[in-house]
Amino acid sequence: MRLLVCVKQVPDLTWGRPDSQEGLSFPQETPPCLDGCSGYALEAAARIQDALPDVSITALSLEGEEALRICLSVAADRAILLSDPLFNGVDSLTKGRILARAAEVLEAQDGPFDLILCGQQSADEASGQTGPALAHALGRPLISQVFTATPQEKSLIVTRQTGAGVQTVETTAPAVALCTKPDWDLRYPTILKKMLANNAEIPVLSARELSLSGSDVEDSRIQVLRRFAPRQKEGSVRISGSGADAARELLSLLEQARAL
Amino acid sequence: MERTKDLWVWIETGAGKNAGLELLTPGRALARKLGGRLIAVVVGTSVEDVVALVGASGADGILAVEDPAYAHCDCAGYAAAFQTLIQRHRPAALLLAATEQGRDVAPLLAAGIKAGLAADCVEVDWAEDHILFTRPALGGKQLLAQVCKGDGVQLATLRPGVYRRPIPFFEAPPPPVMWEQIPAPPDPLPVLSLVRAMEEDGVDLERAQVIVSGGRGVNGPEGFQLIRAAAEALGGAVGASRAAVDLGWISHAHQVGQTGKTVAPRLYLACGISGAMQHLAGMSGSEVIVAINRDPRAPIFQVADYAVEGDLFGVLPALVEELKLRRG
Repeated sequence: MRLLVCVKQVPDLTWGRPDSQEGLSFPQETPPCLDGCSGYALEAAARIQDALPDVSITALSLEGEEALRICLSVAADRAILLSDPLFNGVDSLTKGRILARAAEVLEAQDGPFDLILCGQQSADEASGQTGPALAHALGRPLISQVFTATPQEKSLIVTRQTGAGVQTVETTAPAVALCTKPDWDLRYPTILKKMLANNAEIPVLSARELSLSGSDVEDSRIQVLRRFAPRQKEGSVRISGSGADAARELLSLLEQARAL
Repeated sequence: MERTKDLWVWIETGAGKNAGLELLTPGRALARKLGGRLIAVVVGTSVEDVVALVGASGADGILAVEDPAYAHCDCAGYAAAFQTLIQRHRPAALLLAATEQGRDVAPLLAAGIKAGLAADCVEVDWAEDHILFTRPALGGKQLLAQVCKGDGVQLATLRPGVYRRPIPFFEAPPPPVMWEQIPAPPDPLPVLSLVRAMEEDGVDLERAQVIVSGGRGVNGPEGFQLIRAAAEALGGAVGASRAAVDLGWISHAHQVGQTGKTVAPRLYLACGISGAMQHLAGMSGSEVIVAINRDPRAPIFQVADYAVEGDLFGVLPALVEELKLRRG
């Protein structure tokens, strides 16, 4: 079984400092890391590998070399980096199309992927469009909010989050799964794998190798005009204490504000 | 055919119906600015009830598509239906609710018609001659103001709870309904047969007017008894932070935040929740926010209207008692 995990590299958000202009600012030395939901996609793939013999995991990232090294150190068997000046500043729908083209190129070389896993949405831009765009470009079914995928003889059993509860669904086709936060975390790398990952040669595919030209990636349909800090609450009311007085004070304030 | 000036909103027929009706409020204002009609689009299996409700809520027209096959249709089927409708009628913009279904359908549709999609907006506005979409990034710590470029249809999903739905007025003459034939895909993609549904918890956070949420600070599953008691006394629902859910103290159905529910109740009480970005992303749109926390530096206090620096195990029981006294 062949699995493809598409991962995004984001700045380590814990380095963000409050900023009155842009809401959050990042110092120059902020390290890159693997996006949270990408990590859940990798863990879902690793669990399939635990359960079955002969499962290979390919990690794929658009301009995310460090994220790919993390994948290699944890569970991926190989990593492919997509990098090209043409890819700078493309919107998330275009990212999905680029990843889809790369998947097609890899499938032409080594055979089809049984399942493609991505994160539901990234922690930085959180637009949630790259995975659906990838599924659309490949013409494969999209399954969102996925926790686990368990391969059966000829199908996949998938658990996913819905408003009504946890759903279990079955899919027979090669599909695209968008993974979200399950009750567990991404496993830790082993020291040996980490050393190997740090020194691994990661092959790079450019726009030319994906047969993509400028006109394929230049049609960004979204323009961000500005980034700004959310409006701060105007002076919150402080109440100190832990007893009946604090509770009474809170209740009368809420009543005055007609919030009850 | 020229693009019209009409503004469309998608009213879902299932669980997302109320979130869809909310879209009529910003939709009305934008349609006026665009100089076009406000058209509600209803697609599903039996749509009459929703059509009646929408008709009384101020739409200028309704576009209805009915086919029993939509009951088994996945997101790609709905995206295909919208693609056909948009190509037939050329609206200026389409608003969808950022519900489970809307979040799946909108990006597939955007990819299909190569349109700009402003995802998960918390505000839509008119700026001189274009629609301005505002959406959060970085877990709600930053807002982006953006526009959809080009002359294609503009797409946006809006967070549920941001706008109030119009009050239905059943005496008004119902708007014209245009029935369209778009068969659902006869053989939907071989996916999404429901094998087993579990963990039905019956909690409806998205529609709750009051939510009392507990986090790591409630110290265990027993602590949620107190949260439940407070929620009951205030007539609200029980929410939870991801930390509490991860620790197994309460089911995921209660989780508020980026990987749980996005809520905007009239009153939100955060008890023992430090206020990680992911949590704030799910509740910062609430009208009045109360935070109870022992740590005066907890980030939750930055979004709170009423910051109670104290022990929730002291404050909440007193709060419940006081409410009981007042209600006699």
